[in-house]
Amino acid sequence: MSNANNEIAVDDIKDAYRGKLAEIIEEVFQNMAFLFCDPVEDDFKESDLTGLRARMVFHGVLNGDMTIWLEQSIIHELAINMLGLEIEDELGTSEYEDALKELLNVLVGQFLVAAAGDEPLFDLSVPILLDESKSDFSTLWKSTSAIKYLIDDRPIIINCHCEKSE
Amino acid sequence: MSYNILIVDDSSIVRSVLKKTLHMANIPIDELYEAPDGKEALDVLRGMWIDLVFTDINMPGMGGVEMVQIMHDEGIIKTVPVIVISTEGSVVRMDEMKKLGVRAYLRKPFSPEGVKEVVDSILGEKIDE
Repeated sequence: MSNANNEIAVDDIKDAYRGKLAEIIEEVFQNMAFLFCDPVEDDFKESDLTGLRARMVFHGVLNGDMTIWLEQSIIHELAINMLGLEIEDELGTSEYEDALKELLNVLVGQFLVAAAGDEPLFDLSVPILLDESKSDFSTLWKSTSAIKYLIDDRPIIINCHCEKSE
Repeated sequence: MSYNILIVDDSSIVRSVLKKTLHMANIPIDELYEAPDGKEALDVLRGMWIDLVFTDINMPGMGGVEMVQIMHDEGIIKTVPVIVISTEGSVVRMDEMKKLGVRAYLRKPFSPEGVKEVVDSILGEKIDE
């Protein structure tokens, strides 16, 4: 499926869409959950963090996928803020998972309009949680293609791959 | 007058946020029904009086497009206004849905003001602040 000449993906996103995607990420976090993303500091020290990772696939004039990994306490804040609850309120697992998936859903929708305009139709998968999400923070964090932010010194990691259709 | 409203979205958190938004917007509600997909939504629509439907598009099982198509084919959409709330931003999709009878299309994330505005315009009443 992948064709080097058609691929907008990871490295090219740096040039073509990375800035736009970064703006979208910041806007969506602010608008959906009142969370403010900061650039990653050079001295950020990764640790043994746990979180969840979700993935969504899109097909259309662009084909690809987006994944997002959030540290567990950010997911808690995301869900709490979306629901207008208090930080000490407890939520169920499904609410955390739904919050993460909905965040990704909005990110993908906004990204596709920014990347391809508002004419094309896309087939979108429903967002799913990835099994390996609890582990492997270090590997994700070290990825050079990932877009990384900190929210109050807690990391978020987003990966997006896309290529133009033939 | 109070309304029976059906919210169709596979995400429980989105349904909760929309319910909260409707309350914040002071929309008078009699009963709120929920469905996680189009199939369950059609079951509700065939068995209950519903004044207004909010639906997502992208859901597992029967999605919003198929549900609206069936509502169109069965004539339900003539009497039950539908508002689509989706992340999809394609104007082609919006036109397609409006041709089937969808009354309004809101993009996620939605605001209470945006929801109130379309509900006011569709239900044709000024809802008291």
